[in-house]
Amino acid sequence: MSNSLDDVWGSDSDDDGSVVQESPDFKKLRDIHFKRGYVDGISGSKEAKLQEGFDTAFPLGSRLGMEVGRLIGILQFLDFKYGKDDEELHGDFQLAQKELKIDRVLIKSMFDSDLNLMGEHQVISKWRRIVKVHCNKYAASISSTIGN
Amino acid sequence: MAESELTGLDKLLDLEEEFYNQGFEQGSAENVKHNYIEGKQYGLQVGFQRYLLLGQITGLLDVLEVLDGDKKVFAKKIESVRSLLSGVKMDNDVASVADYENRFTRIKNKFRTILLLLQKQLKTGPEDTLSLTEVERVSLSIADEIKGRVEEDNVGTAESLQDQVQNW
Repeated sequence: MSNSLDDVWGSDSDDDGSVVQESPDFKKLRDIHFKRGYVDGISGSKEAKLQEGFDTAFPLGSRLGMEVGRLIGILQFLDFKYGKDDEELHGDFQLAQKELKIDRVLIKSMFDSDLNLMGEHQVISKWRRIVKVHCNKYAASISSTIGN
Repeated sequence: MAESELTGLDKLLDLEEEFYNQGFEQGSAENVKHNYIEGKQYGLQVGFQRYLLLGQITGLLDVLEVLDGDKKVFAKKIESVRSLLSGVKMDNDVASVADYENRFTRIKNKFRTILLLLQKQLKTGPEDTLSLTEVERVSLSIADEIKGRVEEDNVGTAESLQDQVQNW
């Protein structure tokens, strides 16, 4: 800052390296104009990058939806065909509908702070294993097409 | 006004502008970051919702095909739906979305005929068979729970995206 203003607002570049002392007036001036700029910065950028974020994450959401849907579909048909005589199968189909709900799959613990998936989705992996067990019993050839 | 006073005033105005610009840059950067993450939340949710039923139909057909075995009563119809499913793109480009809409309707209609054929084969009444309505009911119960956000873990009273925006 200019030396000509030092007598009013104090110096921000002490030669001796000691802690800079800001005068209250200097701080007030900075706060007023910084806040004004901050608010204008927020309103000026409005919905910038909103669409970009949407387009970036959409394929991942699609893939997760497709995978969850397939697991549910397999269980639903097996339940339709064998559920009356297979309590475990029927129970798993009911439970899957709860545990694979969108609000249990799109959950923050599965994503990093930028909303990228962290490794395998644990809930989906769990249900892959369960669905495989039922497939092995009734439709073994499907098992190998369900990931790990 | 003396020249030195004018110089001091100019520097004061420069300083105000500098602070304003610093604030503007920070506000803009934070908002852009916030928007990007918010957009990703929407993208994850909408992508999930749009493809869930297609995945479900895929799974139902997988089992039906196995149970159909060598009889191949359903083979042609299943193949017809599979060919439509295999071409579905999973991005949000305008052309991909239009193609999705077109395929989605055709897939549902063809799948409905498969279920009607299944009902005939099993000689069951509508109440004892697997209907498209029931398939869609399950799909909706799974996909229609949140509004535009990735959920916090173990939060019972999740605020809506709109609430988040207002609180931000």
